[in-house]
Amino acid sequence: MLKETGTAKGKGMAAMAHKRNGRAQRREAAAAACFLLPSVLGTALFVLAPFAETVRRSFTNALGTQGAGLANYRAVLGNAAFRLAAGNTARFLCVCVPLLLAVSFALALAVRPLAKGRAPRAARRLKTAFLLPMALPVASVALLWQVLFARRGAVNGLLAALGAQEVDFMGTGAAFWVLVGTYVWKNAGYDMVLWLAGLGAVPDSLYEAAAVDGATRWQTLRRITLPQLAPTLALTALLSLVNAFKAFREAYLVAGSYPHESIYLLQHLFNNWFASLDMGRLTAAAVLSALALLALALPLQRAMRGGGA
Amino acid sequence: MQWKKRCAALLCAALTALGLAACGKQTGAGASSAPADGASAGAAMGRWVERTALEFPAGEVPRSVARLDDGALVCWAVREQDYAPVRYVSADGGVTWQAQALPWMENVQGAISNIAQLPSGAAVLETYAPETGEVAYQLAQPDDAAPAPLAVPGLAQDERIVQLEPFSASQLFVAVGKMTDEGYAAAQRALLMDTDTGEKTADCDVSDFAISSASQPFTACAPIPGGQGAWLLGTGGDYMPLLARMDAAGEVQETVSPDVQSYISAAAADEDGGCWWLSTDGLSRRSASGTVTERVCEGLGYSFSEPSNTAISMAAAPDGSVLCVNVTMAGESMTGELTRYAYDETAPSAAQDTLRIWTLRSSNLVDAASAAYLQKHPESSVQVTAALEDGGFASAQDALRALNTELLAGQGPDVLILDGVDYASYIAQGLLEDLSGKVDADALQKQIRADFASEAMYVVPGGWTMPIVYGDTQDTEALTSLDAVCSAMQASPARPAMDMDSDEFYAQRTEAQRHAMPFATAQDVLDFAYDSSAPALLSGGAVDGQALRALCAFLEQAAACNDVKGRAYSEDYGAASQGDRAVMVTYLQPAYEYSFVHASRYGYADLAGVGYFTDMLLPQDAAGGELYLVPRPGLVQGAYEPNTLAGVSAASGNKDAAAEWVSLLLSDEVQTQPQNGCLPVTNAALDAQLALLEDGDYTVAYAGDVRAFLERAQTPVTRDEAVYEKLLAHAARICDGGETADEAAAALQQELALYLAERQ
Repeated sequence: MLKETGTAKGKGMAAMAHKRNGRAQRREAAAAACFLLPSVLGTALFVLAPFAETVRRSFTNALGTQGAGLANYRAVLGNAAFRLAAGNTARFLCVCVPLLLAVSFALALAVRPLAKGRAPRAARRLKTAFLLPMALPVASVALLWQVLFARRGAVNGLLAALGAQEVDFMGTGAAFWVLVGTYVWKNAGYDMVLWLAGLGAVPDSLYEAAAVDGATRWQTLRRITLPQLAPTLALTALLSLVNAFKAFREAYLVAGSYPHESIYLLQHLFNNWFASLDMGRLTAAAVLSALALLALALPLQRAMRGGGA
Repeated sequence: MQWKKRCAALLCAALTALGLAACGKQTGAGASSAPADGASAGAAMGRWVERTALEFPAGEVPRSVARLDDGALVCWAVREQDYAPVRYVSADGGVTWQAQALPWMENVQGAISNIAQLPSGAAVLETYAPETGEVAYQLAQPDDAAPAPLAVPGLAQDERIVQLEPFSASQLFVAVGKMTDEGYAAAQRALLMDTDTGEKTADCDVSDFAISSASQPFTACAPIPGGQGAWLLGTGGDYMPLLARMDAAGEVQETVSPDVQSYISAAAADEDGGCWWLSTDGLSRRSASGTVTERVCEGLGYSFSEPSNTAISMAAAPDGSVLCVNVTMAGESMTGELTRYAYDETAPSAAQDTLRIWTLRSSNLVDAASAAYLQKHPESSVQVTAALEDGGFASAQDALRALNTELLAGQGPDVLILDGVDYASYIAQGLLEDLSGKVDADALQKQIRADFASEAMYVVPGGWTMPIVYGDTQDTEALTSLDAVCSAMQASPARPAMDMDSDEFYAQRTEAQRHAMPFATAQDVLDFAYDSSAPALLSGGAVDGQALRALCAFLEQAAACNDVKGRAYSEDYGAASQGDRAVMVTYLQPAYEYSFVHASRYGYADLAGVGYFTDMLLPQDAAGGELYLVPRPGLVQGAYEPNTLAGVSAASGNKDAAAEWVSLLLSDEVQTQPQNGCLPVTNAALDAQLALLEDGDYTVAYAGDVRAFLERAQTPVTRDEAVYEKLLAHAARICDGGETADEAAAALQQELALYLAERQ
């Protein structure tokens, strides 16, 4: 930047420099827009436009030809199946997301020292092992469920051998914990990798300084590690929230359209309403679900940005 | 450098946009596509057309068509009045025909049952003596004054001629076998014989064919012009159609297993050694030593695809056309015509418009209605998609999801066959067109009209069946409730664990040794009660707990009286049919156990035609006795099952054509076909069926009023698959002893509450 000399020549040169910078910025912005255009078009075409149509249809009849006002929303909120599904989904999210975050964080803390120096090869193998469940096809997982948790499955066989009573895993409330367990098992490795990345970004100098000051491990964790991981926590929580909705696939493959009511999720309801062409209630329920998710995701996003600043 | 950046950015954007545009095109097996309209196809001309080559006067029935060595075609018919042969000849590839009398035709001994034409011009006659039924074979050369008896060389004393077919100009293919206990000769070997010398020329290896279980083991033997051998059509060891090409010495050179879904009834050979064959799927051709079969034309729209027609003989003309004898049973008599299939270069290759029909599974009724529509509108085409069979979908759910997507997008088929679909929700969402005024509701039977056409008519069934129980003792009529069935089971011995492969299944039993009901699996028990109880389980949008408990209690008691433990699901044993073209009965396993081996005291089935009132249901040891029928006992009265539920899509651009198709579904032509596998829904068709019982050659074993019995149908029952699957899971547990009736009823009530809550 040119120093202002107070002379007319100096002022003119400063104005020219300002103009050159503005032009350069505009050119940069134009180039960026061209690069972004395909993604924006794709998102608009495949995400925003369908969502707009969904919102529109939530105020119309099944064919989308006649307005229905708020009737669909009233019908959804008054429907017992929706309330059950929404409650189950909320319960599932409230249980499995924190559990997943805790388990994956603990795994990351356990693997990190190995990765940092003691046994890097062992650390790599552990990471691969924890990531493998995510690579398994959904149908394989469903098959595994049936082998393990069917009435005459391996788990009940083991229980019977130990003299315990058999459990109807898929026909009682135990189905919920099987679903939670599967979700945590599948996603723990992925979240662990995210945590490890976050842990790697914490400067070592902070830990050294803490050690010099005589901080204990717990103090180090609470006062240095966790605050530094706030953005990572937000990102991991957001991704875990999104992945939680994929648990429907295993539940549907194993238990069909009408599973035990403890694992009857919103997607089951949407699937069945689509089969019976109840598009009005389906779209209204979808809009309500999207709003609820937005309410959860926005604070997380703010936390991510706030931590990054 | 800036311009390089901009160029790179624009290029990237253009490539991505092109990729997105390409993604937008619809591709893949699941996408429905109609053939291009003929108008817009422009110059695309040429297709196979069907024309009637020869119509026969009343009383004359065509029997065969064949090609001579000089290229002329010969068609034989038989006069029903005196069994005299009639000969027609064509010298122009079957376009025109002239009757031609030969000297021997007036001097045939016996009644002619079959005529086989050799390429040399000689004819082999199969005759029988009306008084004794004795069968004889005669050979007639064109100039003979009378046919001469034909003797097959090398027959053992206990051997008979089973079948005799032309093989070449002067050779006959003869299947030979010994008499069976059932009174027919079962083929065991085959040979070639020379008609000039009367000597055997070769033994034929027919080990690839299943020949010993039928009185006519080979469907056809088609000589290849020029004496190159013949194509032999029969059934392989897997009971699927099999073709074998034999050379002039009778050695099998190749075998072909045609990929068809239906029976092949006729075959012909052309001078290139290729084989043509006809099934209801279509007309196909395979070159000699070729590896690919050509489907020359699809069956739908041609007369050979109609279930009531049967092609019995074919010939390939020198000009590339194909001639076919089609016969139809009309009451007691048979009629037929000679049809010519030829490639017409002046006919548009694509139809002017296409009527699209969607169904989960194929059905004879749908095919018959489609064929009737095409007869009326030859310029159109009909595209029938059976979603679970040729739509590429693994489950009904997937198929319905794809259908719903199309319908909600304002597209989709014109006609929907809604069997196995929750059509009430389609009506509620305004997806079906009201057919009032377009389809004649007055022609429908009373209960059909009341249930489907009282106010509006969105869905109309093409047929219906009635669940029944039957037996040969009067106490059958006491089975009017599930409790009565339980009492009957408790009063009889328990059904042992047996299936159709065990000897005990076929053991002789006295009345006191027979178990009451033929329940082999939990699914059998559930199906028995569900078909006559379903509407009572869910009423007024809620589960009827009492009805559910009653059903579960029946399952529990039935399980106690029949050894069904560990057998939840019924295996598909297939079905056997009995009867003739006019009146038929189809036996599934429960009917088989009563009607064929009389192991149980009662049988149960879905009454699907007037044949169920004849003695075809009675076991052999009760033949001549009375048949007692009652509507299947259950939680509702007069249950009946409508099927082929046809509706017109409100989004269809072809509504008038679709409504016409539905009208044709209810036409006499379609409703009176016996292969429909269900009762007709119109009064006129039912009257025609009942007239067959009164005027035909059938023994009516039911002593009551048949019409009055059918009028007891009053409650339509359609199966809800979601509810049925839940009931089946608990039925299996009850039958295994893993759950009591009360536990099952309580669990079901909870499970079904969720299902109902969705629909509130």
